[in-house]
Amino acid sequence: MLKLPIYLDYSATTPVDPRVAEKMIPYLVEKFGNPASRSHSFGWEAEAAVEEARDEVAKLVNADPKEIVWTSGATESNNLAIKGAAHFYSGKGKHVITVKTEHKAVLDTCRELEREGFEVSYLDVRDDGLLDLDVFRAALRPDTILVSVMFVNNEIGVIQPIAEIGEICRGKGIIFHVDAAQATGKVLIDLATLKVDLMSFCAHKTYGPKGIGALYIRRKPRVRLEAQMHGGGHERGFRSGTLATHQIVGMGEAFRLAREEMGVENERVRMLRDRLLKGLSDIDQVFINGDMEQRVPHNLNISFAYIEGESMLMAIKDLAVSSGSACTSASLEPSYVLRALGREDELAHSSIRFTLGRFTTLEEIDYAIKLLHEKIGKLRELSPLWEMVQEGVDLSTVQWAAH
Amino acid sequence: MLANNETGVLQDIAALATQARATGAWFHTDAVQAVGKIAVDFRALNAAGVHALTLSAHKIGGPKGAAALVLDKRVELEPLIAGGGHERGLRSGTENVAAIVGFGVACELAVQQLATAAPRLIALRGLLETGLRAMEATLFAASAERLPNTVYFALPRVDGETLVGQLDRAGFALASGAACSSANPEPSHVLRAMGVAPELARGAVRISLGSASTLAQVNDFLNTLQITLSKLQRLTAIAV
Ligand SMILES: Cc1ncc(COP(=O)(O)O)c(C=O)c1O
Repeated sequence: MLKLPIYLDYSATTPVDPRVAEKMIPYLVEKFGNPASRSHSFGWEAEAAVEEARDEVAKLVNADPKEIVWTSGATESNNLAIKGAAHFYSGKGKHVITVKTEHKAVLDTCRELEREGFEVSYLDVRDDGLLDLDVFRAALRPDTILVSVMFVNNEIGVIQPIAEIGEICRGKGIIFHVDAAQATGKVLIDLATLKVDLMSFCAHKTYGPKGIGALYIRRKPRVRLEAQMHGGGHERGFRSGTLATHQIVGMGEAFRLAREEMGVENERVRMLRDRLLKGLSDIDQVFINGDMEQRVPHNLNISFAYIEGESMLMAIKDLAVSSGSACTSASLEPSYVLRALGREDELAHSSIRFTLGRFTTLEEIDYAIKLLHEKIGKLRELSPLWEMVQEGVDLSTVQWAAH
Repeated sequence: MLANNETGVLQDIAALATQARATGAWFHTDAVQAVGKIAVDFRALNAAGVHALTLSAHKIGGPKGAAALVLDKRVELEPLIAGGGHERGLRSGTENVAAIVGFGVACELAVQQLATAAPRLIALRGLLETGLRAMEATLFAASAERLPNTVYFALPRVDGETLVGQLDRAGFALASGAACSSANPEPSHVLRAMGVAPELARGAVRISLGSASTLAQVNDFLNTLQITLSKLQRLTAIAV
């Protein structure tokens, strides 16, 4: 039996995999020790669990466990990486480069740096959502100290050319940070070959719990950071505070499962996503946002022209999807990511993000296709614009009366 | 801080805040160790001049990884973590929902248990202290107002780390300092600030009781401590 509503918003957050939850629970109740307690077995047991999880996180991205520092999530990791590196290397220069389609956790942090006197370049992307390497090269300056580019975009799922950007940065001695919150378990990440200095992760986009994340800090060549959270000197001084053992155990198990299952899982998810796309492609005037090749298999972002995103969301209440990302869906502004692709406001407003995952079924996808056909037909019948288009009016030539 | 994490000593925060208010200073108190163990009334503290108070879930039976800042509405803060504007812009990032739910329930239970828990803990602590005095222990800050669950002591000529290690093997988990600085072999900075001689401070051991602690455990502990102590003192005598 199909259970409604159907969750198709895996990029906002994923459920915790039951295998992960099961592994976490003993660390809440019986094995509750503080991993920093050095004087008894409760503490040692917790510390051992934390280190095992650190190994698992490191293994998924082919890093050394000593390069992994725990945080409360990708937002904190991004803050620590960007502010920490900018502050530490500010003697060398004060120019930072990022991209207009980054997550708010990066953009707001960069704004903060601007208030402190840094200069930040926010690069445009091509209309497929990808960063043009020539644009990137042209933005580099002698005083550029830090570059931050996300691995996988949270709204349109496109995969940025991280390897190439890394080569360019390393050649110039510029610190390179990557927000990989949406990448783990979806693309292969090999930090032994990628020339990335700092990489942010979180658990809750990869079937782990909310409220735990990590920052990869490269040791060779060594990257330095100024700590942002003080008190106790945990995590080799990079991030103080009692470690949340059960959360960390959950992230470790989630990343272990991702490593073992991502090959098979991604092909299954790709098949479902492609079925959804095919099922919708006979609808008139739909536009895919973002490149379909350099893209994770979980994501489909489509604009349904002449339908307003908010009315669409209301009409398809049986589907839990989003227009824009979770962080900005409270506002009625059209997505800044889609605007950066050059989509006009109308199309940006009519976009829906479908993100699929581990527990999405064929039945759910078929139901979604059927529901969307029905509702889009009805919504367009109500749209005066759609009526004009059907009558052959070119809307761009219409003189609208001012109100 | 409202209650010290090593000694359990309670500061008279309201009185201090009143003084600070006279100069126009903001006043923050770390109440992590106090909440759930003694009544903490932010409204009353706020009226006295306290503007912000920190509390944490995992010290009151909730999960690690969730905490809160209680804040006077008139205070404006600069956020430390930017990005998305969660928590009215003061602390961005996806909320740790499960831990926060746990925190809420822990607070609810703490409120329910507050009235009964404290007298029970004070009785157990009294027994511990009588036993410890009989072994010629120094009880730190014993004359001050303290949390009901904390005893901080040192035994003559016994190293704290060593004693804690021996007791762990005998089945008792204690600390020779705070967990957050357990990696640090230096004698406690808290005791040093109180003017305790370094030799004595090196002997410091903290017992902190909880709602699961029982009378039988306390008696057992005192017996074990007596045996461990005799053994350690014999060893010291041989070494000398
Ligand atoms: C690309 C990206 N970066 C960062 C984050 C922030 O993660 P969190 O809210 O768990 O800190 C998210 C998700 O919200 C994201 O999609």
